[in-house]
Order: sequence, then structure tokens, then C-alpha cells
Amino acid sequence: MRANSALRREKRAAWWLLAPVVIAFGVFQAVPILLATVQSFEATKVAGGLGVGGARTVFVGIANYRAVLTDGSILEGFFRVFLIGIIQVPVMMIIAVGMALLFDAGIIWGRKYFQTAAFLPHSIPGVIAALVWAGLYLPQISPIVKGLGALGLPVNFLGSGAVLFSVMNIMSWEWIGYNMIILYAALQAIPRDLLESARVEGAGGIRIALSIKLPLIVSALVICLAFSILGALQQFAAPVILSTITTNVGSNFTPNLSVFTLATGNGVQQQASALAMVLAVVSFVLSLLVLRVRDRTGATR
Amino acid sequence: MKRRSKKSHALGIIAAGASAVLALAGCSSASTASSTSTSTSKAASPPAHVTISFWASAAGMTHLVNEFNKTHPNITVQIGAVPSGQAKYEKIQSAVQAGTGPDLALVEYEEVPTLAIAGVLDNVTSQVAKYKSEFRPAAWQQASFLGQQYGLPHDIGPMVMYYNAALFKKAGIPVPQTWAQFASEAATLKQKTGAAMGSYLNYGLFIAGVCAQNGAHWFGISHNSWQVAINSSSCKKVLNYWTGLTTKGYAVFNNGFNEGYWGDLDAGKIATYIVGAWGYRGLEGNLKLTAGDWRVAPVPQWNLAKPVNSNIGGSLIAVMKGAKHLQADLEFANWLTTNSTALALTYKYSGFYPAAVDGANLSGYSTPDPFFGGQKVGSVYAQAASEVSNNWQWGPVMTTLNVNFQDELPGSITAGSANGMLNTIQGQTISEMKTSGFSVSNG
Repeated sequence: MRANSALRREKRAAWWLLAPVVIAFGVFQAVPILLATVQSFEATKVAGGLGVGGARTVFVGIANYRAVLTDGSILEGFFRVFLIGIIQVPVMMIIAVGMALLFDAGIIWGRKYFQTAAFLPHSIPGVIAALVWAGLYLPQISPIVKGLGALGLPVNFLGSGAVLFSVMNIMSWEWIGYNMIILYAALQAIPRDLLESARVEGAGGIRIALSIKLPLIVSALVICLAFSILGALQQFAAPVILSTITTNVGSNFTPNLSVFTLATGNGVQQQASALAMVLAVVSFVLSLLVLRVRDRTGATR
Repeated sequence: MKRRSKKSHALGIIAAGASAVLALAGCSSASTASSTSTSTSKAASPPAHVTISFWASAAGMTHLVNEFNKTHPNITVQIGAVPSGQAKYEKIQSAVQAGTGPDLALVEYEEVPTLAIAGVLDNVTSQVAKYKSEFRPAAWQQASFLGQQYGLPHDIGPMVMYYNAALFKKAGIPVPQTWAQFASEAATLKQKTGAAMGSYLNYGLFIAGVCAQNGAHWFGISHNSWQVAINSSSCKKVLNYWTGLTTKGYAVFNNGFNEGYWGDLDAGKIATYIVGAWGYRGLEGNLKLTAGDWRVAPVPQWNLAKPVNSNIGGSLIAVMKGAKHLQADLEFANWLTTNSTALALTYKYSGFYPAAVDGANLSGYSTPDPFFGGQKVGSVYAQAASEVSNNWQWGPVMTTLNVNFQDELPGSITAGSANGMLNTIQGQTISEMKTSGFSVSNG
């Protein structure tokens, strides 16, 4: 009896402690998601020919979903983030892994300094980072463009073909350091005696890195990968900033930008909800897939 | 209202936010008075002290509000922070519908039909009738929808041509008066100096302005139905003209209002900037090397015998549905748009070109301007403003339409013709409007 009431008290205490999170999650996450879900099946219709006869909200079934999923320019946005996913994400991860391994092996002199320097870009808000890079891309003011031009290498970072890679560059600049720190922490957690015995067995630094360290940080690697893929899918700030300085970034450059365009457009707010739902489902499925991969690799280890 | 770069928008929002906080802190005691004065606001009896709220994202508006509050002890205006661009109208619409909207807001003319349809604006036709003669007729018409006035016109953007006189001199070409001259001189200019003659701005209001000058009417109203004519032959002619200039290198296609564009102007790579009269503030603020080389001239004409002008931008002080102190609201709106002190402050801080008839007489416009080599620019602006026709109708889907133009224009230049783009946008606009429940037909 006493044990029972103690348990109940403990449970109640747990709920009290959880309350801030549960309430915040409900108000700021669950309710908006629910509202958006309902909204994604509705549309606003005006009346009276010219529209001045009032507006009403009607249920339209999957019409909003059909509208956004058959819009060629929105699908192009999905293709762009797909390209980011298969080009920028691997390149960034390879660089981050390489840097983490170098730091872990103690090869780099001034490790603390360089680690901080590599992480610093991540502490700058994405919008500011994009503004800084916009200045480096704009041919009229960029020292990079001017310098390369002086060397006889004319470049246009904002051309219709190049601008996607310019966005990828901003993403990498921001996130390499972040991924590096996570991977470095995972590397530091590897028992040193394991590496010691490998070295005694005659394995060189590269052999140790590839055959012992890498397999042991697969789990952290997959988490980084998941975050990177989700980050790619949600690209917003960099394209918005670049759209002010080049005509080659349209209002559907990425799916997230499309959501914004629809949400502020005339009479299509509910389509924004539908596209946001699609984006959420895609993100969910992708994270699930990545985590499944992690579980499987974890099982074989 | 003019568009600025997103960066300066952000700074503007921060500044407006800071000032709103200050205003709120300073006026907390005044808000109690506002509720008691509701009943007296419409009567002519001596008004009690009232507090009214005004939402505007424009730079410099705080200076004007402070001046008004200083000289009008019975009225306190609180300026509210709004984001600029489309988010502003989202915020206004939500707030008014929730009953927490402002009394007044600075609203761009092109948004009037959208906001009127959404029931956000207050019909003040009879209350503002007495002010009509103080404003330019074309501006007065822009502050209305279906014959109902929704506030007082604040600023207008009659098109003018800013040009780099030093480049013109170097190329030995006169100031073009017609679009035909503009195009033929562009070849000479390119050959002699390497510079482009014109700026083809990827900016919805610019596109609307140049099309309207050639007699295009994107939207019309007939028999309780919208008529859409975005792909009319007059619009095709103008945009194909600009596409042609751009593909030949005689015009630069740019979003405008960014460091890159200002840099090209300042480096003498582009000789002209055709925009609303308000454009001088952007030039003066961003150009350094070529300051003093610039002049302003009337915009080139399609038919010199019958000069026509149109607006690029402009806004009104709109009265919001639910505004509680109409008398005070209109007193402030009228002061802001016509009072000589207010107009002088507007000239100094924001550079809007006033919609008031008297605005043309501002001393700033009639004194020699060193940026323009000592030119007195006011007469050019006044002439431009007097030539604006008062029959341009905005549609109810301007945000989406502007975005469609910005997305489609780059492709039209690659294609070398604007026809496909205009046909596409015409179709998109009609189908979007039909989906929203409007009655609509090809105009």
C-alpha cells in the first residue's frame, strides 16, 4: 500500500517535471500540425463574381495535394534537394570524417585552434552566413570573382547552372565543422587499448583509421547523415538571400521555399499546408530509412 | 511603396520593432483614454485624447509620427512594426480579422483589391470626399476599389528615366525621347563605351509600369466579372522590346535594388535606370563614384505626340475595418499626406514622391541637387505625375502574379521572346482565379 502510493507520487512528480515539455510540444507542435493537416484538405472560395460577396472555406479532398504534386516547378525543387543529397551531403561527410580522423590522430598541430575555427561557421546564423557568401558571389564586389578573373579564370557563381552549387557550398561551410565535432567525439570514445593493440600488431595510421576507427563510428556517421539529409530537404535561408541578387533563384528553388511562396500567395495558403505535409512525410520516411541502415550495421558489428 | 533589398528590409524591421517598443513604453498611460473616447470620435465636439495605431514598415516613418504627436496633443499615434513585403499583408489581414488590427496602415495600391475583398479595409468614401482635391486624380483612383475609397493616397511612382550624363556625352548621344531612339542609341552607346543602355528589372511593378505605359490593362471589370488581359498585344510589344534589348546586350536583366546592380550603375556599365520618381533615394544612397554624373529626364514615349505615364509603385494610408477613431485617423492620415512639414520630413527621410498635388512644390525638388549635377529635378517629376492615366486597375491576385513574373522572366530572355511567358501567365492567372471562386474571362 505504501509502496503503491509512493509510486503514484513518483509518477505524479514525473508528470509535473514533464509538463513544460509536454505542454510546449502540444501547443507549438501537435496543435499546429493538426490544424495544418485539416487545412490541407480545405480551400477558400470567394463569392459574388468579383469576390466581394464574402469568402467561405470548403472541403476539397486531395485537390491541394494533387495541385502541388503536379506542379512542375515544385517537383524541380524536389529534384534540386535530391541533387544536394547525392552531391553535397557525401562530399561534406567525407571532408568532415577526414578532418575528424586527422584531429583524432593528433597529426594536426594546433588542434584546439583549428577545431574551433572549423566549428565557428556553424555558430553563425544561416541568414548571416548566406549574406556573407552573397557578398563573395556577387561579381561586382566579390574579391574571389575579381581575383579569379585577374588570373584569367572568369567565374559566375550565380549563373543558372552554378547557383545550386553555390548553395551547396554555403551549406557545407556551415555544417562541416558541426559534423566534424560529432565524429571527433565518437572517435575519442573508442577505447585506446584497442588502437594500441592494433598498432602492436603492426597496423599503420591509415589502416587503423579505415579498418578500426571508421567501423566503430558508423553509428555517429549515420546520425550525421540523417541530419544532413533533413537539412538539405529544408534548405530555405540561402536560396532566399541569393534570390535577391540573382534572377536564377526562383520562388520554387527548394520545396521549403515553395511552401513559403504558397503560404504568402493569393488564395493558395492551404496548398502550402499540403506541401508542408508532403515534406514532413518525405522527411519522416528518409529518417526512418537512415536509422534502419544504422540498426542493421549495428547488428552486424 | 518601393522595394528594397531583403537585407535593408531586415534592418528596417529591426528598427521598426525597436521604435514600436519605445512607442509602447511611452504611451501605456494613453491607451486608457482611447476606450472612453469611442463615442465622441465621430461627433464634432471637442475631442478627448485618443490613441490610434498605424502600421508601416517604411523607413523614416517614426520621425513623422513623432512630429505629429508633438504638434497634436489630443492624438497619440503609435507606430506598429510590420514586416515589409507580402508578410506585412498576412499580418494585417490576420490581425484585422482577429479584431486586433491597427486603425491605419501603409498599403501598396496593388494590394487594395485583395485586401478589400478580404474585408480588411474600411469604406470611408463619404468621410474622405472633402480631401479629394488635395490629391492627384490618378492617385485618388488608386486608393479605391469598385468606386469605394479606402483611405488617402500617400505616395506615387510616376516613371522617370535616370541617366548617366557622362556616359551619354562620351558616346555622343542625346537624351532619347522615344523608345525607338532609346533602342537605336543603345547600339551607339554599346559600340562607343561598352555600356548597356537600359535596366530590364525583374520586378513586377516595373513590368506593370512599362506595360501600362503602352496602354495595356492587365485587369478589368465588366458585368460583375474580372477580365484578365496580361498577354495583350500591347504588353507583348513592350516586353519583347525589352527582351530584344537584353539579348543584344543593350539592357541588363537584373532584380535591381541589390549591391550588384548599384555596382554596375556606379561602374558605368548601365547608362539608364527607369523607375518611379522615388528611385533617386536608392541612387543617392548607393552610388559614390558617379555622383554628380546623373540626371533625370522624362521616360521615353511610344508616341511623343501623346505622352503617357504610369506608376511604378505607390501606396495609400488605408483605413482598417474596425478603426475606432475615424476622425482622428483621418486627421492624421491627412496630415501625413498633405501637411508641408510632413512632406518635407518624408522627402528627407524616406524619399517617397508625394501623392498630394502640393507635394510637387517641395523645396527639396526645386533646389539644385548636387547628385544630379545641380539639376532641379522637381519639374521632371511633376510633369511625369501629371501624365499618369487614371484607369489602371489592379487585380485580386497580385502577389501570385508578381511571383509568376519573377519566375518566368529569366526563361523568356533565354527563349528570346516574351510571348510564351505572357500566354503562360495569362492561363495561370485565369485558372488560379477560377479555382478561388472568381468569375473571370479573357479580357
